[in-house]
Amino acid sequence: MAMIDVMCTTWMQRQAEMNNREDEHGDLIQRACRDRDAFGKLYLLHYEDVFHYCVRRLFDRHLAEDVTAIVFFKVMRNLSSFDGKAAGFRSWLFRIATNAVNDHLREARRRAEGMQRVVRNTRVDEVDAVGADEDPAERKAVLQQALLSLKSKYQTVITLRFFENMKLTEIAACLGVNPSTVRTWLSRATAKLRKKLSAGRNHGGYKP
Amino acid sequence: MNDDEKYIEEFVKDLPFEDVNVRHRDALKARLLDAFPGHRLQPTDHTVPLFWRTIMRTPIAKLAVAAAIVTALWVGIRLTGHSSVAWADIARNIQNARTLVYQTVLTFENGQRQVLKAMVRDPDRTRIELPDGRTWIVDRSRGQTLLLDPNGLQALSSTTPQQMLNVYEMFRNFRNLPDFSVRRIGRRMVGTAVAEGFELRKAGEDYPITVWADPQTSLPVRLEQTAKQPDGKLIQAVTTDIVFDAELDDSLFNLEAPAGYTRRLADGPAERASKLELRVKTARKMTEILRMGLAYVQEHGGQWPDQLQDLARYGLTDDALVNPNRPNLKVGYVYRKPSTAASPQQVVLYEAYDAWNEGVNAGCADGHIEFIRNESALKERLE
Repeated sequence: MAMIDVMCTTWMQRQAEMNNREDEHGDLIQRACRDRDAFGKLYLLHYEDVFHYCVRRLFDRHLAEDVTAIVFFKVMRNLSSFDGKAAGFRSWLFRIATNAVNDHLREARRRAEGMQRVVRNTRVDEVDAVGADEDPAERKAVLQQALLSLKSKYQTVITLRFFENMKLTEIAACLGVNPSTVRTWLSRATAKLRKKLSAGRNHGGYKP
Repeated sequence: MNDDEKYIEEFVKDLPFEDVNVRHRDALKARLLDAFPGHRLQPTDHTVPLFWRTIMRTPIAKLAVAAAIVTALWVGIRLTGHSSVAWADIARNIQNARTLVYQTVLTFENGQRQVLKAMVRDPDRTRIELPDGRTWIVDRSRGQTLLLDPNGLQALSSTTPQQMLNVYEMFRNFRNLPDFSVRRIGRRMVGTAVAEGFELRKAGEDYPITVWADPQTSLPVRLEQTAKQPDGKLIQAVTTDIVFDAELDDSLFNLEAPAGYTRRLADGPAERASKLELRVKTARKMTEILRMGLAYVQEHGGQWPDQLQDLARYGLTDDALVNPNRPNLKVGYVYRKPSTAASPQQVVLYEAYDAWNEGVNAGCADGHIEFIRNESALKERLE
């Protein structure tokens, strides 16, 4: 009985702490709309999340930093329009980041097409040009090429699921779609990605 | 989790991704806070327009780094020794191009970054655009520049400083400097494609230029260079989005101010008067500091203070240490404690500077101020 009491008390304390944190975060978001210092704090709380997401979508530090900057300028401009609770802020932030990354990739592709050297529907056989094996750096290059050849919504769900470790419901909140839609996209995305990565494997690529 | 998901999870496990660059984080925070709605811009290091300072205070050196890398390649690096067939193709393609467009990200030692989009034609004509709309147009053949600020609808024109012309001469001279060695450094992903890397190293230079080229088109897709500025600080330049032979309309290089803009001459009478006023204001503030210094000397057996802050008892305030020419610095002067037997002409105080411009005010041990135009003269007076 005593053990159950301790567990209950601990659970209640944790819940209370979480609620407090959420309240504090909610308060910070509110203040960040009009208070410069509060915005600075909010920025520092979330910079790492946004940068990590961008660098895992873009595979380039400089591009990721550029897009991270775009994301936070958008956040600053639109924060007053965010009317959700603190718990929804991360989803809102990732939605902005996703849109910014996708815009960047679209623009990069458009520019590349203009230069007539776009990697159109990046061919899987290019993957083995990197000489993929189990070296993490090369594995990363293989993943980059395969991932960037997918539709952006598939890139997004894969990054959110496997790098950000988000649940389907969280991804759905980020993308503003139903969890069942995310489930479908994730299935298709992983199957396509695996196919591309496996093709690399057949050419001496990665063997998990 | 199905098989595909397990496969992906295993594949991505432990992949190396770059971590947060604290300098970028902090620099971006400063930019965001400066742009925060309702925040009145203060003359801090971040709000003094970097572009303006770059051009007007440290003439061209920083921008030239970016322009030099690509333009130097464009006007032609003749290679000897280790040149490979692939590199020869790349060099030929570059040399055959008529126009050039690229984007460069300059990263300064303090973490600040500047993104530039450059368009080069002829190669005498250059246009550099900043993300906020400010634009810099240079026509080397006419020796003129035009700086457009769409935010304040200001057009500032000037005759090109000699230093800039020298930089552009340097571009041209690259074709006569065949002392680059070229080394292949393998392949990596650049954007969405695999690129072949070349390291270009010039004898006597500390930092190589790295060129990443598309193996299919033999055109460079990314250039990386670290360069040392005249003040010894490092600047990194990464050039991407390189497009050769893009159509560049003449109007992009027009040196006339667009309709609605107020045109000013950078080196006109008003500008000269404004500069002189700042110079006099600075000299006056320096005289005050020296006066306090001399009071200290009188009471300390001829010894000067170890640092300027020791003059607080004599009335020195934080504000007195701010140089009107460099309002972004807390202490805008450099103090050199002289020996007891210092000559009256010895410089004990001078204006802090990043790169030498037209000159600096210097305060001497006897309390008078001089404007020294030559950097070597200042150094001599300091020794």
